[in-house]
Amino acid sequence: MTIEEIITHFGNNTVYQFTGSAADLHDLMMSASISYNNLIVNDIVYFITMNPIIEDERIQELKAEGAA
Amino acid sequence: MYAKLVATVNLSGGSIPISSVMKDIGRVITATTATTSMLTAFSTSSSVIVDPTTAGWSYVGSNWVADQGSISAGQGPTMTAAGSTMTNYCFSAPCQNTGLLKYAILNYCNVNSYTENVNNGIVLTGAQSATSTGVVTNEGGRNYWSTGSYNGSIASILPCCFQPAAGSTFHVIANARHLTIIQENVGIMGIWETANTTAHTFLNIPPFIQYSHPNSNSFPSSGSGLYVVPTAQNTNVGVYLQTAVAFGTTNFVSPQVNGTVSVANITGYNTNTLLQYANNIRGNTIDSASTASQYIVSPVYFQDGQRGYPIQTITGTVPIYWTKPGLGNTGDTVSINGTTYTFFNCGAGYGVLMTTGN
Repeated sequence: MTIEEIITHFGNNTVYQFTGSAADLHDLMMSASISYNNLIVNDIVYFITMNPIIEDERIQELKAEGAA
Repeated sequence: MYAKLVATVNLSGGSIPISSVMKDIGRVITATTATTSMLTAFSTSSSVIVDPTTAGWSYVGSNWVADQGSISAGQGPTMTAAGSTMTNYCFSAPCQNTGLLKYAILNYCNVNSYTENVNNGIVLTGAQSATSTGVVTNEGGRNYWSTGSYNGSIASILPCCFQPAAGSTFHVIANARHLTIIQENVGIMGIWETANTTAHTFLNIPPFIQYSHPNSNSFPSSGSGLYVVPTAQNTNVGVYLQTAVAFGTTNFVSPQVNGTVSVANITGYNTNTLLQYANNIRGNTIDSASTASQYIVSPVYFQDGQRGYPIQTITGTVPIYWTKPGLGNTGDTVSINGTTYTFFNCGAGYGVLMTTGN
C-alpha cells in the first residue's frame, strides 16, 4: 500500500506511524485509555486514535504528499 | 431473545438522553430474562419481550463512569459537550467452538452537534477488543457529527444511524451468535458471527462481521461506498450507508500478523449484489401475478475476496436470510427447510428472515 492508500484506508483522518510492534502500541494505548484502530503494512504499524494523541517518541504523524 | 421496543415519544429529540436508548438495548441483551420494566426510554407498556430467551451477551463497560461495571439504573447521561460525553456501551459474546470473543459497541450519533437535539441517533459497531472503561480497539466504521470537515447536507447523512423518533419500532434480536437491531421499515445493523475459516483458525481470531445499513432504501453508488474508520470525534463522518466489515483477517502485506481491521469497500467485498431485490435483478422466480423476484430467500455471506480471504458464511451460524422487501408484515412466518423463521421489515431495500431463540 502507498501512503495515500493507507490514509484513505483510515478515512482521510490523521494517521500516525508507530516505530514498534503492534503489541507495544496496544500496551501504550491501553495504558493511556485511548481507543485506536491500527493497520500493519510491511511490518510497519499505522494507527489512528479516538482521543488526542499522546506524546511518545515512537509516534510520528504520517503525511502523504498532496494529502490533506 | 427478541425485544420489540417501541418509542412512543421522540427519543431522538433531546427530551430523553439518547444514551438511555443504548442502555435499554444493553439491558435486554445482557439480562437473564429481559422484561419491559428494564426500559427507561422505550415505552414499558407498548414494548414487548417477544422471546425472553437469554441473549447470551455480556456487558463489558462504557466510557461513562457511572456505567462502568454494570449498566446503572435509570436513564443515561445527557450529551453536553464535544468529546466528553460521547458515551459508548460495550458488549461481548463468545464465538462457538473457540470461545474467542466478538465485541459489539453501541455509540451515540449526531450529525451536527454534541448536544441533545433532533438529530440524535445511535449506531452499532463491532470491535476487536473493548475494556471496562469503554476503550475500544479496531472498531468498525461509525458515524457522527463532523464540524467544519463535513460539507454535505444534514439530510444526506442522517440515514447513517438509527433515529428513534416517536412511533418508531426497534426489533432487537440476539443470541450468542449475533446482535441484530432492525428499525421497522427503515433499516438494519448487526454484529454477526460467521462460520470459521482457515484464515480465522490460522490467525486465532473470532470470525464475525459488522453489518450496517440503517436505511435500507439507500444503496451506495459506485465510488461512494467507502466506509470511514472512526477516529477523533470531531472529524469522523461515515460517507455511505451499506457496509460490511470483517475483523482481524486483513493485513494487506503481512497476513500472519493479527490486529488489523478490514475496512470493506462496497464493491467486491460484501453481499451487496444479493440485496437489490427491489430492482428485480434476480428474476428467477415468478409470483402468481407474473412478477419476477417475489419470493427469493437468499443466504447471507461475506467475502473479503479482493484480498484473498475465504467466504465467511453467516447464514447457518446466525439464523438469518435475506428476502425481498415487503415479503409480508413483520411477524409473519416462513418455513425454510422445516424451520420457522420470522419476517422482519427492514425497509424498502430488503427484508430478513430470522429466528429469535438460541
